[in-house]
Amino acid sequence: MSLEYSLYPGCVATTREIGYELAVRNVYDQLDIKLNKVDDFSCCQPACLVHSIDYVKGLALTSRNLAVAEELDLPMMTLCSSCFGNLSRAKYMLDTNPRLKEDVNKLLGKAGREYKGTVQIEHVVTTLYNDYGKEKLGSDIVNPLSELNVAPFYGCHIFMPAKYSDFDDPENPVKLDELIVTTGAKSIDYHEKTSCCIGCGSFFGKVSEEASVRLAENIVRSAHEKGADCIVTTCPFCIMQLEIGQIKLRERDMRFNIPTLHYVDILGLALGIEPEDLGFDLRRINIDPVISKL
Amino acid sequence: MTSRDKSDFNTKELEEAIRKMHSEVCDQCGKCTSACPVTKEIEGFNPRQLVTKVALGQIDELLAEEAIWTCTTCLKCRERCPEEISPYDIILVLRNLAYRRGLNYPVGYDDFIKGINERGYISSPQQMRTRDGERVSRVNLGLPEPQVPMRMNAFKGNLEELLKAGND
Repeated sequence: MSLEYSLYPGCVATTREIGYELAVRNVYDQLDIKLNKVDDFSCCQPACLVHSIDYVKGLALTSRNLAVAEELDLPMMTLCSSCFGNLSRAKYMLDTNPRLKEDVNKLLGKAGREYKGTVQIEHVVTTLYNDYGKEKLGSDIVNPLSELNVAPFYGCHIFMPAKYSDFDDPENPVKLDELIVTTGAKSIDYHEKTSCCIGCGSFFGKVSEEASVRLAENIVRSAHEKGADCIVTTCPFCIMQLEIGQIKLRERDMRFNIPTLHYVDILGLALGIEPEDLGFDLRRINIDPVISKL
Repeated sequence: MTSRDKSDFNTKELEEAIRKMHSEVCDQCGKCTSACPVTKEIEGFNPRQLVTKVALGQIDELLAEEAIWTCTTCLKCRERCPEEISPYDIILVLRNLAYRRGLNYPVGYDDFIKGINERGYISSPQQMRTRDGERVSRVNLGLPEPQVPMRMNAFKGNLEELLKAGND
């Protein structure tokens, strides 16, 4: 039986990282994994937005998506680490706090919905690693990326804290590394691979303006020093921060120009999918150094 | 009580929530601060000190500080605390309290909430540029229409209330 999920694309893939949604759809088509469009999902509400000024309304907005997924009786698959983290956090909070669940369900009830607690939340990495399986994925590879040195970038929201989602060990994660190795590429260990990029953590003030560029510098420099040909992320926010950060760093005479890709991008290449069908024209950093190593 | 105090979760409960976070058991080990990406880059933000101030009951002082709005919600402090104190959760509650008391919050919040109120997303689908400068939309890539949230009306009322309160 082939795998099937409700696709939860989230704000960034829907509105800006459209090449990512294209790559996911084409890769999952090729793997014969069914992704259903759901005409009712909305923003997951990162904790820095409505949660920060009204905790219960923020949680209700997040949980509305969980209630929609429960009605469809299929696991929901997110494209974004922050969506995965925020939805998993809401599930944890409601499942462990009956008073909060009651308050949230009062609000959801006004929209004719109820959060029950049956939802299953997945991410691209968990569907490929846990459900499809590394071995099967390995047997699908037609174009091993054996010349490519890849720096995996996990970011933070996908697995912190571990009690929300049990995605992987937050201090020593392996799943993205192993999926990279499955494509035939080499996975590089480097210091900043679980750092915060600030993409989906703070949209306002000097944190988003100044600190985000310096954090991007730390991350990219760390990958560069270990000889990375490219950085691979699990999140459309992370990829934007690392690409736009590198562009801003050029103004400070720092030219790293390390191609930054989504995991499905390198998987797609290894599956023999054409670069334009993976949205490569839309990458903000030139990806020729990756293509030349194929 | 200010006009912002409209949620079912009232101010007293939020204050109680902070007390239940057990900041008084903090060992002052500093793992939260050494893990914090903001502490490294921005002066004046230190989760260990923040937990101490909460333990000493200096809530009013904290609420007035801009620092509570600089957390990037990466959750590393919560992950690494050996006493399972969560500076992250303390900060979220402090932000809720500051908002209710009518204190300043960052410029930009209202626009984001307005956007979610109107579209269900934080922004509208945009045309993206290729590296050759060509503008590309979802339609050009053959992607389906974006998913649109339905039955949002009930939330609209709630969010409008929130927005109005924020503009006091």
